[in-house]
Amino acid sequence: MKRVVVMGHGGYAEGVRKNLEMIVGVPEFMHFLDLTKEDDLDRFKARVEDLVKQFDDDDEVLFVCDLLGASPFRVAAELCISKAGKYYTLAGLNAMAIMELSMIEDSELSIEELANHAVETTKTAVAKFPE
Amino acid sequence: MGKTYIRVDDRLIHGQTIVAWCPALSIKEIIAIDDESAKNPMLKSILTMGVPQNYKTHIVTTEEAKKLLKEESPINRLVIVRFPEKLEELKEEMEQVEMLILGNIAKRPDTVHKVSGATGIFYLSDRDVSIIDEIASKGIEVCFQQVPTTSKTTWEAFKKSIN
Repeated sequence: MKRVVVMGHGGYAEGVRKNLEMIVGVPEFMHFLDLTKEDDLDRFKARVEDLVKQFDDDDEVLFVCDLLGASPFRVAAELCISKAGKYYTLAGLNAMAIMELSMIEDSELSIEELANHAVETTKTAVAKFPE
Repeated sequence: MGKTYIRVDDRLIHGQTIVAWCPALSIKEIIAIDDESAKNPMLKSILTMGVPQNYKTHIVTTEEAKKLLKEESPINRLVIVRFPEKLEELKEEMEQVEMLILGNIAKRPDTVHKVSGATGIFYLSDRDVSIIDEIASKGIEVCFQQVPTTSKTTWEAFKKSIN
């Protein structure tokens, strides 16, 4: 099955969860993990690994991280190394893209196509008004 | 000639460093020392993905870093190590350093000192303290500071607090 794990700093994941809850609802295949001030890299990594352990071996996972290059991103990207083709890490997605990810359960697209699509949505669902 | 700064941060290259410290210190080149990551191309690419391309970025072994630091540089450089013990291997290179900035440093089995507050959370062992003491005694400025806009704790102030 496909899963989405949202991770970020200081309540980001919880904020995304609440955002989805209000607009479209939170599906069971989505998970939310926040890096707290008390976490160091190893402790956070252990928390992410504990979550991933509950997944089935053939599950496909998209990690959605708040910031490119930051700790949650690094932990996720490192997990993707050993799960090439099955796990992908995305960083800096916007609310529209994440909302689309909350509706991928029955998607025909592959996990990689979904990852690419989320990046594209982020680029197109950003605007300035007046132009 | 460019200036050289050293940061101790167990996260090695981190957003706080790139977004806050590099502009504040006019850094143009980043030399991150981590033997494990330097030998693993995948880890290397994960670390450098978050660094904008206008910085020259190196993820290197201690030996490679020594070579890089031997060459004079016209631009400001930031050397990043994960833990204070690495500084012992860089004694010669320390002589050209302007400032040692202690960033995030995680708890380890032998860490008995803790500094926490707006400056971040830092854990130091007695050995770390003596290594940094030696550096401070050479007249290099040493401080704890998470980002340039948060408060700074000088090494002298920290030393007074543990005595």
